[in-house]
Amino acid sequence: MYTYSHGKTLLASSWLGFRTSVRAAAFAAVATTSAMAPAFAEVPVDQLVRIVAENGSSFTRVFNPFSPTTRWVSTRTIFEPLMIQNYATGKLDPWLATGYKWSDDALSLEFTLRDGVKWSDGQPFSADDVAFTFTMMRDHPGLIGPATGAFSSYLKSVEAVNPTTVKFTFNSTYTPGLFSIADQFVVPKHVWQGVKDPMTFENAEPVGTGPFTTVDAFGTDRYQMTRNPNYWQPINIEGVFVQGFNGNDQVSAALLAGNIDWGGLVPDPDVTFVPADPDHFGYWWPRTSVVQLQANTTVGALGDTTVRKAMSMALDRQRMINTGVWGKSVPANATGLPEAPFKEWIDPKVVADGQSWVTMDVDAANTLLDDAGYARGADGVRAGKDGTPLKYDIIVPSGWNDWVSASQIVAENLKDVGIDVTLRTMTADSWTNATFSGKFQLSLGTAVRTATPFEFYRNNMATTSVQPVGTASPNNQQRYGDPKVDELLAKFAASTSLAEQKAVVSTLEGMFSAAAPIIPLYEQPDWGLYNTRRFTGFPTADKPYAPLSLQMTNGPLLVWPHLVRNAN
Amino acid sequence: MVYLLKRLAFYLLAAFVAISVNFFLPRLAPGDPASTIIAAYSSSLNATALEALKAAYGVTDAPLITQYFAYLGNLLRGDFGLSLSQFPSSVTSVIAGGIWWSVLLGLVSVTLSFVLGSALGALAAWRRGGFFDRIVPPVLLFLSSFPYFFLALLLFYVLCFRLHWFPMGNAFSSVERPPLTPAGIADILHHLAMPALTIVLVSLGPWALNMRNAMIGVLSEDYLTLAEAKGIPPRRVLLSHAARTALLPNVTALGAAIGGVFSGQILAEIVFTYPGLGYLLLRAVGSVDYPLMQALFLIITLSVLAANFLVDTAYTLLDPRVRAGLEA
Repeated sequence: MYTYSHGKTLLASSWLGFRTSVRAAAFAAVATTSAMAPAFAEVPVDQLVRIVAENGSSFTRVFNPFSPTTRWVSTRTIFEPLMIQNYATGKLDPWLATGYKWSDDALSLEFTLRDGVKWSDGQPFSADDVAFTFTMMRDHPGLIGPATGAFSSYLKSVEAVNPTTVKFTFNSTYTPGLFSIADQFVVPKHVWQGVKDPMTFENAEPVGTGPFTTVDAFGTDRYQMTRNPNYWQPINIEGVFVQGFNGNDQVSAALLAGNIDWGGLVPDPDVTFVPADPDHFGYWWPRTSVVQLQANTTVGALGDTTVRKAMSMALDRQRMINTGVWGKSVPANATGLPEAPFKEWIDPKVVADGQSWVTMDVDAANTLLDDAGYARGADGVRAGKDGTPLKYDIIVPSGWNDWVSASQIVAENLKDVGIDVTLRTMTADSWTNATFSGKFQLSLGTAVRTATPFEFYRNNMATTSVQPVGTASPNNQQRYGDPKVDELLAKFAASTSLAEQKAVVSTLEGMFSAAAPIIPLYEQPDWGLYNTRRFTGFPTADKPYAPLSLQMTNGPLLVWPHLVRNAN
Repeated sequence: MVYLLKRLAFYLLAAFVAISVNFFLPRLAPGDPASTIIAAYSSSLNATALEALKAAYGVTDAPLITQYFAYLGNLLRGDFGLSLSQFPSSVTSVIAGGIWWSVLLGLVSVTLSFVLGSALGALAAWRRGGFFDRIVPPVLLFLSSFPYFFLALLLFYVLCFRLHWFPMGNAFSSVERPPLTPAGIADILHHLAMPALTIVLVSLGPWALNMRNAMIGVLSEDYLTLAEAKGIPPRRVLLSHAARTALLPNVTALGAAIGGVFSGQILAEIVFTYPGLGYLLLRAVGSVDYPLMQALFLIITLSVLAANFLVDTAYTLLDPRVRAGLEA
């Protein structure tokens, strides 16, 4: 089976959001079910939005949102955060909280909670629940969520000031903490306070504030979630139906049969998907992250900025886009940031000045390497000053087809500048180990999606994010650190002024473009497709009110209230 | 009886060795489950969270030998631990969802291929050189040499996707298992048909060919000539005298076939989205889910051993020499 990379978000070994899947058999099956099995109380599947979001067919009833391997709906229909970072609009949308306010010294942050929100069991939602959730995460550091680690780095305390106000106190100024706190889903105190070990709590009968909290039916390869009777905003649909698939062809078949309403990736959709029903089938692939070539800076000549820039200039980015993502992307710019989500942060001057090192120019690349003293040997392969030939392995997980094809192009292109690169594919697990621990030479990666560019530069250039080779870390796999970046990031984190933060980011962009700690390749599309035969209201390029990607945590929460079932 | 007891002792020893290999083999492969799971998660994690997660997952740095004895102890108590790829579900609950569908698909497909294959082989040998013999074995061999994935996908496309004769996936229509009424059973069989049929199609060949070859050997034996000379009806000669003896090699192969049930089903489960354990095994290996892998390998090992023990037992019934204490 083939898979597609999906950056670091969610199950990395997923193509179409292969974690999301809906029901293949409905076509043949609906007829049979209604004809032969009226005994069930299951909500008919044609009332539900059928989704392809989960891989496999051995589902267990785990709705613990703090487990990274929980059911897909846990953080998409059951539990909700205070506010949602909307990657389609770049705004922080109010959700369980209607707004936030920093204190003047930026050492405390207050959220005002929405009035009248109730848990699905009828109990009122209040600031106590928020404070409880954060305190529980402090006491159990293994609970995973957006705010994991907040207490060990910047957060001092959290308290419920009154039922609708919750106050976070910081150890030191750290304004990017806003997004981690706002994004954190909240669980009900009255249920979780009685749980002995929240890490191993399965939460089979979830109580949440989200739109679909009732486990209407649960099978080993499918389940359906229906309405929360107390949802705090109007909702027009009955619920969702999530089906697991074991193979990509089966997902494609189900899509073409019209058995899926909302899904992730279908390869080359203009050819394989949309023509099957152009009036109803559509896709939208906005781009919120960048695919990057990572060169381990602890490995010989790869630590030399000139070598990395020459490598960058040897690469045919458009060809990677055409073969890997069917032409649906653009080459990355010299800041390393994706254009759409960060258009207000990207300094056009840095982009213009740095354009030459992210544009293909093989002759210039060769000149750069010649001048730097990397002479070609008899076999045409260049060698470093100490005589070590520039021979490297590029590693990617086997089956991540877009990345495998991009890596092949990298290997081919770099031969033209005298760098000998061999493509090695491996299991996703071995690849993770090699890249996390810094035991690799070349590899591909993507940045974590974030609200501001702060994390991008911290994770790629700060000395604080550099771990020694052998110590696992998801960030700064290339092991590049510059103390000046640390100072700038501290300045950013201490500021509540957007103008000041933008000035800092502009400097960081310039430093990135000068040093090339990683080699940006092209923008990674966020896969998403829809079928409007039964439901309409999905976000599209014309109505970009929310991301269409099912992979983003919280993203689908923005979409549910907009969906409407067609009258017929 | 002594023969069976000796076999039983051998199987117990084999089970112990298998259980130990089960523990050490997955751990020889490189990998760290906690990192793998975190790689799949975008949140920025620090060392504290990583350590806490590892502790919760039971990923320890304790010496392997200590872990091994803990594993044996847990096994004796029937405690397989928590699955890492579906944390915090217990391994038992992850497996419980698919095991009966795997067993159903496995038993139906192996039994059908064994019975059909042996019968076709016996018939082909009986009318050796006849029309049936010239057509059936080559066709079956052709089907067996066909890549399963291709054949299954082709049938999926035509019969399920295009013609809608069979469902496009799952083990039954409703989300939760239907009651075992006639209608419910019919629904389950309707969903079972395509995965079972395709497995049978590609596995018939060897059964039929082995049976045919064994039959041809048996048919030239003197006692069959005698049986015919005594005037026993041909049908009885075929079934009670020739086929019964010729079946022995196939019965041996049956033991091995049971062991291949889960792995043999992986592709069928992928193509027909059938909720068995084969695909679960594939995923467990991919996500370094040691506890789940161990439990699945244990099921496979024990079922192979049990099947072979049954085969040994069946031998005592089919082969009088074994009963007499002679080596078969």
